[in-house]
Amino acid sequence: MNAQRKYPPAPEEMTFEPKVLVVGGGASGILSAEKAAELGLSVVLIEKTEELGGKAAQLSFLYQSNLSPSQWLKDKISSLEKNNKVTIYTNSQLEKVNGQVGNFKVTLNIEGKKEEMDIGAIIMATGMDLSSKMPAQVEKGAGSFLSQMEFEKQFTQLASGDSKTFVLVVKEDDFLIGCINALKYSKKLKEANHNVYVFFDEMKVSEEGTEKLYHQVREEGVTFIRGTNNLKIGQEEGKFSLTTIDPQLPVKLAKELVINFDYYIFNEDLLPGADTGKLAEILRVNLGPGGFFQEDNYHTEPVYSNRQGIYFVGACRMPDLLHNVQEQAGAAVNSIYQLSVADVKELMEKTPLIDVIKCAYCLTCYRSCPWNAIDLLYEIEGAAWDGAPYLHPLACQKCGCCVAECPNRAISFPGYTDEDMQKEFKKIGGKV
Amino acid sequence: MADFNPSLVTLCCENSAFLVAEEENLPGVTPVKIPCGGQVEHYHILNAFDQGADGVMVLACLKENCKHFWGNDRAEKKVNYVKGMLENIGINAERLAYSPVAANNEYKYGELVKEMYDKLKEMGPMEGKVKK
Repeated sequence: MNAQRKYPPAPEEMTFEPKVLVVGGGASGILSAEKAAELGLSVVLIEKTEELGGKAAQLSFLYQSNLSPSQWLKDKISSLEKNNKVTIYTNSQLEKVNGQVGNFKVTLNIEGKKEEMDIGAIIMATGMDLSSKMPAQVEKGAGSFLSQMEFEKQFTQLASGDSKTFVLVVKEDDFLIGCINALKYSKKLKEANHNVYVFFDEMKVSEEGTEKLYHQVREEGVTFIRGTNNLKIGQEEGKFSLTTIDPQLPVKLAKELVINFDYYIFNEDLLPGADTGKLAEILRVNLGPGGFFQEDNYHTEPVYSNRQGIYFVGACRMPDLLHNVQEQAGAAVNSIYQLSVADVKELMEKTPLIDVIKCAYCLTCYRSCPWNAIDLLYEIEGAAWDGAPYLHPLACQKCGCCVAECPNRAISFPGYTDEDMQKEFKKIGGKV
Repeated sequence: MADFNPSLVTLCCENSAFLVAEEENLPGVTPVKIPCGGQVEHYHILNAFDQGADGVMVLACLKENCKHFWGNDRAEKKVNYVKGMLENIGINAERLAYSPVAANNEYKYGELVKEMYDKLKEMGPMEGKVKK
């Protein structure tokens, strides 16, 4: 017979592995890895493709400054590569996650080879996908129609030269990136003496400094026209014109507006990364609206998932701007630090505990836990069925769902046991 | 029945309804703290009736606002289940109710409790009460 373990495990057994797995090597992954390494945690950074950098490395400039994001990220990558706390694997993927926060048993696929690792916490930074749809069927001169990302890549080349006419169309989207990109392009283009027209549905300027930017570019002579639904694109031998009626004007004043343009720049649809659904299954986390990782619950913090020790940073939770991503990375690493120094002994006293003699190992609690906080233990001393599920003190959020669902009433919740509730009910009708 | 004062137990989620219940001190109402709507067991509801309550209300968070994702849905299901049990043993199922209350909605809590209290007053004492 095997050596049997005591139940519940001693608080000393609950160790926190000071190692963070960052999935995704884009800007959000790099920033998270940097923050975690600053705190003294060792970091494993895995990236699906061959190179680090992701989509942010393709940007030409930011709206706040002329800082080149690609250069900025290159500096960060080279400092990460020098850091001996950080291990970077490219061409690698996450395959399997077992266990709970503090000691996740993670299986990675590193260039075709499988490798197992003990990990304390996981930061997901898998990013987003872009899908662009041409606004019109064009026979000749399709190069005049660019999505924002394509425009971004060849910005310096296109923005040089004589006064060209640019039409920036921002279709209604859930995210503000499209609007802010249009504003930052129009500022630069106006500086180079081009004609700029911005068509928009709703101008989203909730980010810091963007409203000021909007007023600034308006004063400089950028034309803003509301409404993107009635845009008609006419073409004649590779030259294009745009016909529209301003819906904001009264009917009497409304005239057809014809713009002969050289470039038509439209915003892409921002979609969750292709692997997001698969990864959510591996990690056992809920998906939010639109298939992104973000949990639509205002009781939990933005970077949190429905499992402790798994955090979402960057575009995989919601496409966002770079300075916000930096803050999210800090928030995720801060939460990891707080978990790593938590007093496990004190938490254990408040966590519901399963009576191993009553437990039939039916896994009802395992299935009903909204936080997926239950570990499965085997070879337990005195257990009716060799083992019992265990509510991990760091992962458990003390909601009591498992307590109510247990068919054999085998789980006792400190503070809410039958005796405690009876004591409360003794006060009924004012009799104490 | 004019001088009948019913006793009402409100099982309140500590994230929403209990924050309100602490502020509102209504006579004849005993608020009991629970960690989440999902923790409500039929045993506890029946125990409250057994201990002399004329009515029980389960108050949890608004729909899709539960901190623990689906605790309030679970509470509603459980309450409907216990209502069937009460009817089986000949107790008016109206004595048990489920309502969502937000943490900042003291007015709604007061209205709900008052409505339930008036209903209980009309119904009279609990049918199943054992006279000792």
